[in-house]
Formats: sequence, structure tokens, C-alpha cells
Amino acid sequence: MKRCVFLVQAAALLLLVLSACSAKPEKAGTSIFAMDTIITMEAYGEGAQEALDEAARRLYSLDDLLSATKEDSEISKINKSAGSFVTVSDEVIRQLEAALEVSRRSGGAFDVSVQPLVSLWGFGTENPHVPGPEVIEEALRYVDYRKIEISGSSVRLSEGMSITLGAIAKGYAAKELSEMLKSRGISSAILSLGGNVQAIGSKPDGSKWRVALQDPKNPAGTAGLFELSDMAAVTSGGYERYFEQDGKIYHHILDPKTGYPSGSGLISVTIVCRDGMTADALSTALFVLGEDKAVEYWRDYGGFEAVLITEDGRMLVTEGLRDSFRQNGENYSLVYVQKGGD
Amino acid sequence: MRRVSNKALIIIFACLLLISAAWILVASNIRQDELTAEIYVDGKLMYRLDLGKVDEEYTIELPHNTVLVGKGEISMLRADCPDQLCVRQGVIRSGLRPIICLPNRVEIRILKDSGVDAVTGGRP
Repeated sequence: MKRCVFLVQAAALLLLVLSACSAKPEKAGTSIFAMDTIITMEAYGEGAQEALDEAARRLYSLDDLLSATKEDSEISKINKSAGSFVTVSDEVIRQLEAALEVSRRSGGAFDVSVQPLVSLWGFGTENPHVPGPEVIEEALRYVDYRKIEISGSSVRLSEGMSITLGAIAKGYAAKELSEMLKSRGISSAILSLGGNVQAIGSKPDGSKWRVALQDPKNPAGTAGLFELSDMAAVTSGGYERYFEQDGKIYHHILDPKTGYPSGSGLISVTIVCRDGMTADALSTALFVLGEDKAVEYWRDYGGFEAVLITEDGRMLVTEGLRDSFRQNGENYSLVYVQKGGD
Repeated sequence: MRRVSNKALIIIFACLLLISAAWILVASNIRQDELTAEIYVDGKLMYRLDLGKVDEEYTIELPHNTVLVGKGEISMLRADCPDQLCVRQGVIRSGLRPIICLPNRVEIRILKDSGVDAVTGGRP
């Protein structure tokens, strides 16, 4: 009789497991075009759809506020008034302060005042092209983050300067949205703003989010996989947005020192850290810094982990990612980077 | 008497197990056969296509783009934008990397479970 009870229990358990496969929590998803990219959002739980609707509205308004190309944005106002102070929102100040910190720490490898060069090259416009060396030389005179003054909620650029938040605004948006979603009780969501991924909580079943790393040498494939919860993963790479002129490829990440697309030897830099805004700025900074200085930055300041892929086929992974990252395929030879040096 | 009933129960249990195993197999096979692609323009779903059921290649004309639909794959054949990044991306066969034409706000997505929730990459 006991055995009989056991068998019935086992059968009931089996049925339960099978039926659990079809019982899923409320899921909502949307994708919108804003901030010069496509933004995909997925959220789970009660009120997920309403939360994403609010997120979309928030993204459109951030886009209006932060765009360097929209006439009425706060950034355009700062740029048009170069030479005098302009009062701006808290959101702009917070990003500028975060940006300036990365600028100082990277010795100017990351610089929001790179906008004169961006417009010269025409990235984001219909006609990107290689500018002449003398105009690049001229534009470089106006690229210097040290000449951005912040006083309370006012900003002043020196004359001739202009800024762009292109390398930090998406990360800021990801950070803001993740806080907004959490405050609405959403504990499971994943946002993707171009190359910026923000994982909120874990998957509905409690497991970690699986975030693939695109392979820079074969963009249709993946070079690795992160398993993350409550974490941002942001990648900078030149292989998705570029143009060709006279048989040469020019990617969109400019080196503020030379005025040309960065040729640091790194082809992909991924930053993993809780703060999506910092991750965004750091991915660009380390991409421009190149392998040695990027590793040095990580050792000096920490607070994040990174995967660097070099042109010559190496994948450098900081030691904090040992458990949450694994390589896919054998396109790159993997090296772990230690805190203590080698 | 008691021994017989136990045996019967074991047989019933085994059958149940077999049936459920078969069910899982069939369900996963169905999922593999289906390969649905969706074409969005400015966030609105314009087409939903079963790529598994394409016998002969055909094209779909959008206001600024032409999409080429093949068996198990889909690609952007033409775009009137200057960067041509979506055309250069070539064919996609999985959900890993949708085709995006940013200037014309077109997204072509394949709904196939790649086992991945998001991709971080060089897309700005």
C-alpha cells in the first residue's frame, strides 16, 4: 500500500512539473526608436505593460532633452550659448559630472567636448566623410573637457566648444529606467539600448539573465556569454557603425586626441558594472585608451569588470568575471587579467 | 493479489512516464519547425511570416526598403538610406541579431529561442 501511495505521488509530481512549463508570469515587451538607436525592453510581473509604456515615454523625453542634434534640447542650448552660462536640468548635470570624472581619470581619452569632431566627420548624418587634416587640426583646438565649467545647475563652455552626451546618455537612460521600473515593483526586466544592456533583477524563474557578447570579427555570431543579475553590460566596438571611403573603413569612435577614429588595437570593450551610466562612459574610454592603459585604469580605480578583445585575436577578461562569463568558440585566446599585475 | 496490483501500478507509472517524455519531444520538435519572422516599421508590426513554409524566394516592398524572404532566412535587399548597414548585414537565420535599418526605422526579427536574453555589442 505504501508503495502505491508513493507511485501516485510520483505521478502527481510529474504532472505538476509538466503543467508548470505552461504557467508563466505576465510578460510585456516593446521596442522603440529613440536616442539614435533601437531600444528593446522586456519586463515581467504584474503591471509590466504599464511600466514599459511609462519607460517608453520617459525615453522619448530624455531623447528630446539630451540629443546633440535636436534644436531644442538642453545640449543644443549649451552648445549655442558657448561662452556664457546656461541653466540646465539635474539630469544633464549628473551626466556631465560623471563624464568629467571619466575624462579626468582617462586623461581625456573620453571627452564629451568631442562634438566639433563628430560633426566634422558627419557621423549620424547622411554623408559621413573623411575631413581634411587642417580642419581636424582646427576642430581639435576646441576639444578640451577641462574648459567645461559647472556651477550649481549652470554650465559654460568656452567659445567655439560643443558637447555631446552620445557616449553616456544611453547608459544614463538605462540606469534611470531600471530605478523607475523597480520603484513600480518590477523585479524582473531586461533593457537593451543599442549595445547597452541593463539587467534588472533576475529572470522570472530566478535564474540569471543570459547576455551574449557579439563577436567583433563575425558580428552575426557571439564570442561569449555573461550570466548577470542586476547588472549593466555595455560594449563599445567600431564594427557596427562605420563608413567606407576609398576602400578604407572608418568607424565612429573618435580619439579626442588625434581627431581620427581610435586605432588603439582594441576592437571590442565590454564593461560590466551595476551603474549603467558609468559602464557606458567607461566602455568608450577604455576602447580609446587601448589594452595597457585600459588594464591600468581597471587596476587603479576598479568598481567594474571588463572584457577586452584585441585586433590580434586575444580576449582579456578581468578576474572578477571568472564565474559570470564564459567564452564561446575559439576565435580568441582567453587571458585572465589579475588585480595584482603580471 | 497485492503483488499483482503493484505490478499494474508500476506499468501504469511507466506508461505515464513514456507518454510525458514523448509529449516533451513532440513539443520541442514543433518549436524547431516553426521559424517566424516579424517585420516592424516604426515599432508597428507589419508582417508576420513563417520562414519554414517558404518554397520560393520572394520580396516584400516597404516604403523605403525591400525585404528578401527565403526558406529559413530573411535579409534586407535594398534600403534607400546612405549607410546601407542593414543591407550589408546579410541574411539572418536566428533571433540573435535582428536586422535594423535605423534611418527608416525598420526592424526584422526572428522569433527563435536562441537561449540568450540580450546581446551586448558594437551597435551604438
